[in-house]
Amino acid sequence: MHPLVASLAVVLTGGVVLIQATDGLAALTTERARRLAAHTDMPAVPAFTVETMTGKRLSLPPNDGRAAVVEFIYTNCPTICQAAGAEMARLRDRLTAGGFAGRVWLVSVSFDPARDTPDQMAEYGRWHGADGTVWTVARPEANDLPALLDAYGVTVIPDRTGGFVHNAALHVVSPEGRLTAILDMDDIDGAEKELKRALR
Amino acid sequence: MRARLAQAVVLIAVAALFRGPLEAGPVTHVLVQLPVLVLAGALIAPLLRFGCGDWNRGGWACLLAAGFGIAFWMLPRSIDAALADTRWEAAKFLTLPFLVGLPLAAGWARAHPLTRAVIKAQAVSMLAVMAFLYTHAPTRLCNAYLAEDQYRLGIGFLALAFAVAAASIAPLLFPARQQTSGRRSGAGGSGRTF
Repeated sequence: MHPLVASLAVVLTGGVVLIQATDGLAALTTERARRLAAHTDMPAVPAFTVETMTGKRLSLPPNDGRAAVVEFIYTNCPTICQAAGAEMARLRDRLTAGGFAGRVWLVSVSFDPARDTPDQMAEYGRWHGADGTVWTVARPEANDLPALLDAYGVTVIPDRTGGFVHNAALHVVSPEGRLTAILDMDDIDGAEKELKRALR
Repeated sequence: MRARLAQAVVLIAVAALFRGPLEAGPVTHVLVQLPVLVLAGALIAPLLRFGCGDWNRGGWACLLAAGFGIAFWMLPRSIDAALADTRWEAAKFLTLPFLVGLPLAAGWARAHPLTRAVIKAQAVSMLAVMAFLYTHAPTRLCNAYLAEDQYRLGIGFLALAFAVAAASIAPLLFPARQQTSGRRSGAGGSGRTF
């Protein structure tokens, strides 16, 4: 084979592989890839039973005609989850004012179900103003946790101070139970826009 | 020749046996385990007489293949995938020796000195860019690793950039030892770099 032909074949093959591996050079990181996949593929997320801060067992996604915005937290978190709590409160206020009342459920799901008892979650809810009507705090069954995190594409790793680090985001789930968008925690405008799309 | 095969097997075995500690942090994962796998492939290249045909004249086809392989495993999402999915992990153990190390050695052996010089310069600049990216990225690039470790990896890339630059100019500073140490540091340097 002529060396030029061989090199061209390598460049073609390599180029195709790299384009495949990066969703057309659009996503170099896992985080970008999962956000892109949610927006374009809208994968169905399996239903899990979660226990809320009042001890009620509910289905997530709710499967009652409401869309959901799901975030993942652990209540002992000193940093990002506290900021996330404030952002969820802002989102709740914006949605209530924007005519989404009764059409959207906001859930902060704990990925530390062993420590986050209903009492502990209720404390977190009180602190951030989650009263359980529009926005609640909930935990999954410990057995369901890996599958739940996998379904939403969340990776939780221990930090070096006894806490956790995770790819925090707002997960928009349509009334049909499809994950339609993943957004930055503080992207309130984006969440409102994506909820409109999910509820259409 | 047999020794090379044994060395390659030992390297792959070490990379596999110490998977846990090596992959616990991005510095050892990216700067130790991945280069060890590449080096294993490079060691067996002469045994297989790979890349001796006319198709590999000037080493271009092989060097390009290695370049694409390196680019693929430089993607943060590839590293995340290897940690999350055993199929990706298996692919890593296969592709780094056979689609990066092997062609890198087979291409390097036939490359013109000018080509080699360009590759070394390219490696230094690429490592410097990676160092900047990993020390300055505002977000985590790998979901599986902490931000502080990402910064450390950036510092590691910077150290490696200096190491490759130093290894490249060493023959100019010590011309008397060029024949022996120059060649050895060249082979070792490429193993560590890619």
